[in-house]
Formats: sequence, C-alpha cells, structure tokens
Amino acid sequence: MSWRTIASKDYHESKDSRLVRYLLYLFVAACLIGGYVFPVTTTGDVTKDRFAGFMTATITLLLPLLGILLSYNAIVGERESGRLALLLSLPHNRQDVVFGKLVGRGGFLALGVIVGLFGAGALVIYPFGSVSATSTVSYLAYVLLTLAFGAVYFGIGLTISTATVSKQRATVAAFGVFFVFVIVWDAIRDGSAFLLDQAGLIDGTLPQELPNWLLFLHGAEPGMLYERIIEGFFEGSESGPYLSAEAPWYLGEWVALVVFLVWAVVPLLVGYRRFEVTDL
Amino acid sequence: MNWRAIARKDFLDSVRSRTLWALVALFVGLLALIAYAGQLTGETDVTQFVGFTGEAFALFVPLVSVVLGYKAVVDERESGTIALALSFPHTRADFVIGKFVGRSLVLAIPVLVGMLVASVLVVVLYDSVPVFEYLVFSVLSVVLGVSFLAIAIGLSMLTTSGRRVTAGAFGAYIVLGVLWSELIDALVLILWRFDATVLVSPPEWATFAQLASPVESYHRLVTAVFDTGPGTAYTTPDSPWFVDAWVAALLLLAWVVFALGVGYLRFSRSDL
Amino acid sequence: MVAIQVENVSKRYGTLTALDRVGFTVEEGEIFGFLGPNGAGKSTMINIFLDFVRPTEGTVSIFGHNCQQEGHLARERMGVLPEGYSVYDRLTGRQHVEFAINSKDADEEPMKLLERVGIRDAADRKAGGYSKGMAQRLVLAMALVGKPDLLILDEPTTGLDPNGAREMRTIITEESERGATVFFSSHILEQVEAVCDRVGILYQGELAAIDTIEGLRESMGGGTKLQITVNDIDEGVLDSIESLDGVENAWLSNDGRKVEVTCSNDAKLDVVIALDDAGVDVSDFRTDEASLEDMFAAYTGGSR
Repeated sequence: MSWRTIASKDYHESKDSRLVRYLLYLFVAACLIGGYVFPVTTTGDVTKDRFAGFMTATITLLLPLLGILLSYNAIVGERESGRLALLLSLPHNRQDVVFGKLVGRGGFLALGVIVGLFGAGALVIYPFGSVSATSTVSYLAYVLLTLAFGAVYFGIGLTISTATVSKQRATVAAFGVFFVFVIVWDAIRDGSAFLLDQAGLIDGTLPQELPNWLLFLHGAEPGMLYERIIEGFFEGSESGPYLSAEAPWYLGEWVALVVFLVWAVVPLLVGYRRFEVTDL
Repeated sequence: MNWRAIARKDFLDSVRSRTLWALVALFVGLLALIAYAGQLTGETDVTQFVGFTGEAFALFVPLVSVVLGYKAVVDERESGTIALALSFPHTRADFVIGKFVGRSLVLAIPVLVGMLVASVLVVVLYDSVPVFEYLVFSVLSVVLGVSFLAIAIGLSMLTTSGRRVTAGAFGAYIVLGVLWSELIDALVLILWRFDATVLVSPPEWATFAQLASPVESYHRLVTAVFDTGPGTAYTTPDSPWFVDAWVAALLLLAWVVFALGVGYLRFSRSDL
Repeated sequence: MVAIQVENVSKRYGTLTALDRVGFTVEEGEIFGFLGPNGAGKSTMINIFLDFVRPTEGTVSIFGHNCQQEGHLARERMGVLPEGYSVYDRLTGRQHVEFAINSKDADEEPMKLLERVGIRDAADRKAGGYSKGMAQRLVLAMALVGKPDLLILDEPTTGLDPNGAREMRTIITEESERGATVFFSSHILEQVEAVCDRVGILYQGELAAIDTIEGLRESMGGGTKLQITVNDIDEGVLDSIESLDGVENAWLSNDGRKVEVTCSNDAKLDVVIALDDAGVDVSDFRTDEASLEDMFAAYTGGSR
C-alpha cells in the first residue's frame, strides 16, 4: 500500500505549489463563471447540452496547462535533486512511485475538474433549468470526457518527466508541447493551407480547404478531438469540414473518440514503462 | 458537575465588576422608554408594546450577548488565567459549560428584570395584558440572547488570537443579526441573474434560509405568540410548512448546540 | 503504589523535539525533584500532566488515571502550582481561594490557607495588585486546597525572595509529612538538594539521569570543582589528571588559561601535585561546589 503514502505526499506537494493552486482556482472560477453566464447568454431550454460547447474554448486552454504543469515535474524534479533515490531507498518500488504520483497529482487535477464542472452544472440547472435522467447522464459523460482530456495532458507531462534528465529540459519540452498544441495549432492549419496553395497542390479559392488526410492529421490533436467529440455527440452537429455529411467516415466523431482514447492512454503507459526500465 | 464552580465565579465576576447592574439599569430604562413611547401614538393594544420591544431586542440583545461572550475563553487563554482554572479538577467541558451558564444568567437577569419593571407600566398604560404570553415573550427574548451568547463563546474557543475572535464575533453579529435578510435576498438575486421579480415570490429554500438566523427565528416565535412584528412574513397563507414556529424553536436550539459544539471540538483538542 | 507513571513520552512541535521518549515513575509519598536548565522541557512535561498539552506519543497516568483521557479525575487528587499562569486581576486573594474550594468541593477555611502561605494581610486586596511573589504564594495556597495527595509545583520559587523560598521548602516538607507526594521542577540545584528524595535531570528533552541526590553526587566524584589558573599547559596533561583516583573530568576553560577539574574532595591536592610534576606553573587556585551546569556536563557528555 505504499503508493498511498506517495499519493498523499504528492497531493500535498501539489497543493503547496502556489502556481498550480492559483491555476486550479482560476480553472474552477472560469467554470463557475461560465455556468453563471451561460443561462443569460442563451435562449430556450438552458439544460439542452449546449453548455459543453460553450465551455470548450476555456477548457481547451486552461486544462492542458494545468495537466502539464502538474505532471511535467513529477519525476524529473525529484530525480535531479536526488530525492528520487531517497524515495526508492525506502521500501517503495518504482510502480508504487509512479502510481502514487499519478493518483496524488492526478487526484488534484480531477478534484479541480469535478468541483468546477459540477458547480457550473448546478448553476446552469438552477434556477432556470431542469434535471432529467438523460441530461444527468449526458452531463456525467461530459465530465468524464473532460477528465480524460485532462489525463491526456497529464500523461504527456508525465512522459516528458520520465524521459528527460534535467528539469530545464522537461520545462522546455512541456511548454513546447503546450505552445504547439494549444497556442499555435490553428495557425499551423492556416499556414499549411497557405503553403500548399503556393505549391499549387490544392485549389487556391477561399476558403482554403485542406485535403482530407491532412485534416485528419491536424484534427488528431487532443484539443481538436475534444471539441469534435463534444460537437458530434453532445450537440449533434453535422456541419463543418469534419462532421458534415460529405466528410469521409474517418473524420467523424467515432474515430475522433478512438484517437482521443489513444491519447488518453498511450502517453501514460509510455511514461510509466520508460520509468520502469530507465537507469536513475 | 464542577461547571458550577466556574459558573458561580463567572457570574460573581460580573456582579463585582458591576456589569450586571449596568445591564439591569440599561434594560429597565430601555423598556420603560419603549412602554411610554409606544402608547403615545394612541394605540394602546399590548401588541404595540411587544412589536416595538421585539424590534429593539432583535438589534440590542444579540449585541449585548456578543459583548458578554466573545472574550469568555480567549481572554483567559491570552492572559494565562486558564492555566489556573484548569489546574483544578474541571474538564474543559466543565469550563465551557460554566462560562456559558454563568454568562447566560448575566444576560437573563437584566432582560427579565427589565420586562418585570416594564410590566407595571404596561398594565397602567395599555389595555389588558395577557400574562402568559407576556411571560413567553420575555423568555423568548432571553433565548435569543442565549443563542448569540453560544455563538460568541463558540468563536471564543476557536483560536488563541483575541483579534480574530473579536472580528469573528462582531462579524457574526452583523451578518446574522443585522444583514441576514439582505444577504439572502442578494444571494437569490445573484442566482436569478439579477431578475428582481424573484424577490416578490422567493423560492421556498430562501424563505427557510431567512428563518435560519437566530433573529429571524425570534421574530417568527414572537409572531406565534402575539401575531405581530416582522415574523408575519412567515405566516402568509402560501408559506411552506417548514417555516412553522416549532422549526424556528428548533433552529434557535440548533444554533446553541452547533456553535458550542464546533468551538468545543476545537478547544478540547488544542494545546493550551 | 505509583503516584506518577510516565511512559515513553515524546512531544514534538513540527521539527522541534521538546521531549524525547521520557519515562519515569514517582512513588507515592516521595518528594521528587525535576531538574533541568530553562528550556529543557520541564514545563512541557508538567503541562502534559495537566492535559494542557497533548503528547505526540506515550502515556502519562497519575494515580492510575490517564492524564489525557481522565484528566479531571487525575486532577481531583492534585494540587498544582502551574507555570505561565496569571491570576484573576479583579478577584481578591480570598475569592481566589474560595474559587479553588468550590472547584474541589472542599470544605476549608480560606484565611487559614492564606495565613499558611503568609499573605493573610493581603487577603481582601485585588490580586491584580499583588507582586509576583505574592501571586505565587496565592496560587500555592490554592494548590493546597483539599489536602491533595499529589502536589505539582512548577518552578515554585520563581519570584520569591530567599525568605519566601525557605517558607516554600517548609510547606513542601510539611505536606510530605502529611503523606502527600510532591513533584517539583526547578533549575536551581540547591532547592532540589535541600528537600528531594529523588531527582530526575532533564536535558534537551531527554531524561539524562534519575537518582537520589547522594547517588548523583557520588557519581559526580564528590561534587567539588577546581579552577586552576595556569600559565601554559599541554593538552596531554589533562589526560594524566583524569587518570588520577577520584577525578571525574578535567578540561581547559574557554580562554585556555584555566584548568577546570571535577573531583572528590580528597583528590584536590593530588591534582595540584600532578600539575606541578608535569611542570605546569600554577598561579591561582580556587574550589567551587559543583554547579548544576557541571552536573549536566557530566551527564550529557560535556557540551562545552
């Protein structure tokens, strides 16, 4: 049971980091504000599954940052300072350490998501909305999906943390991923469209449309997937380059879900495996 | 049963420091003034007097209670006299109960004496006085004070910092005694995204939350006895069942248990 | 019958250890001195007896009552002069004692008690105007209420003049003769020496020694301390002095100008002779009773 010791240690450590704590507060506050404002800005039944889409922009910005920040330092920081050796000299095996860190730090992230989204949900339902069995199930699914989205970036951070040897490199890698995936990803799409147009590979008329295989690749970024799953499953949207009836099957929400789950599982597994076999 | 020694000492302290006498004089003066001024309007039904007194007590009695109670424990901890008191075979519970009982008496006596003296004026100046209801009203006023006393003593047990207790106790008075209704209204208004029509017929839980402050519970109970005062807001035909008088009585009691309980939990576990 | 039983008690405040696995017993009828420099943890120990402070580990029971679970039962048979108390400024001395009598359901005459501690004349003055010594006497009177089976006195002579300290000793002896157990803490050796049957020495949170006064003195080598001013000395000479019969410890003072030696009374001359033999010039020579500090040095491996 020694992973529990590590989990509680890491949970408290995360809680003690001021940056992470304030970011978590910010995330929860953003969710609550979203839930508060949503009924005013919308017409018709507020409980009709559009809240998820309303929150997407906020969540795809804040949650990756929080997830990566919580995990990128989990191993490498302790390895660099020698505390990891200390930790492993105590009767903890490596699985315990990684699993404990996963539960402790991940628990902190999950707590933020759950508190934020359930608080927001309550503000959406009360006093203007209503609760039904289907809306509850759908909202729970939404929370699960968002948790999984947090897990994607948490896993990426953990992989970085186990794969790097210095804290500095881990920091660069973590913010690199965040920068590429979250900040400039949309620009990459426009940029590549522009380049392909210049090269004469695609039809230059506006709006420039990428070929389907490139759309698929571009759309395989976790945030894009998350957005598409919400649009496809929760809002039942059937427009846009991905979800319209003319789009090929592999751009649809079902494939998006599969790719998303791969994102949620693989980085975590890779990070875990690497840590098990690497020299300290 | 050693709380008696503490209660006795605490009570005698207030006699020696003349706090008790000052409070008796204050309440007698206040109630005589209300009794006299109340009938100047020409309305001489006793509900007139009760209505005015109820309003005055709602502001005044909690304040007196808070002043009486907020230093009860923290002062002894800060000055070190608690080391003396607890080196005797008192449990910490004895210590707290003794303080609570002693100070409750210091509050009850001025209120009851004031009501007794005022009753002479009331009999002379007003129409028939229902003795039983008048008595119940007096006791209710004491209970209101006792609930705030419990809150103040509860806060007094929470920390060793006198400044924080002071802030907490007077904050509690302002929030629970003065601003409570406004705060609940504000909360409802915020939840309804500032649609003011909601205040005309607030949701049921808000009505209940209003009642949860000791002052509002007191108003509700006074209304049950004399059918007057701010408590009539709870006796409209469409009021929910859970704002009945017995709920108000339970709420007042719950404040005493809750405040003393929470404070004691903390106090009993801390190093002195 | 055991009056106080302390088992393996530790108290930590964060990383600071105030008490470290302390254990001892005090038998009924004993006068037990609890000795240690300021800050050694004596008051922490006594505060645990009174349940003012909760131990991090270990248990303390008094007359078989666990101090943490049944503190008030334990205190029913105790009279306490705590440390760090203050008196109720607005109550008179007599009212204080009356409060103590009510608290213990005792039936006593307040004035008699006040007379016994020597503040009868101040009985009806407000205690806020008392001097430190008078307050100390007052609280002692309160501790004596109800003829307690155990007296706990934390630094009882604080604030008392020598006369008061002597009276305090008389009262302690009287109480002991009545059959009470007395536990008192002090940082002054003489007081403890004068009345105690047994002594425990607390040093930096650890119980360094526990023995009778004679036993302690004996193991100290008679308890005499020599201070010998010398002109020039080789460190090696200290070893040869320490090897002498009856010599406990020998060390160089901080400025390097004096040799300090703890030894039995008989060995004094031998030390000086040995120094002379070693060719050391002795320019001055002084003997002291071994101070408590030296005793601690002996028991804690010489912290100098």
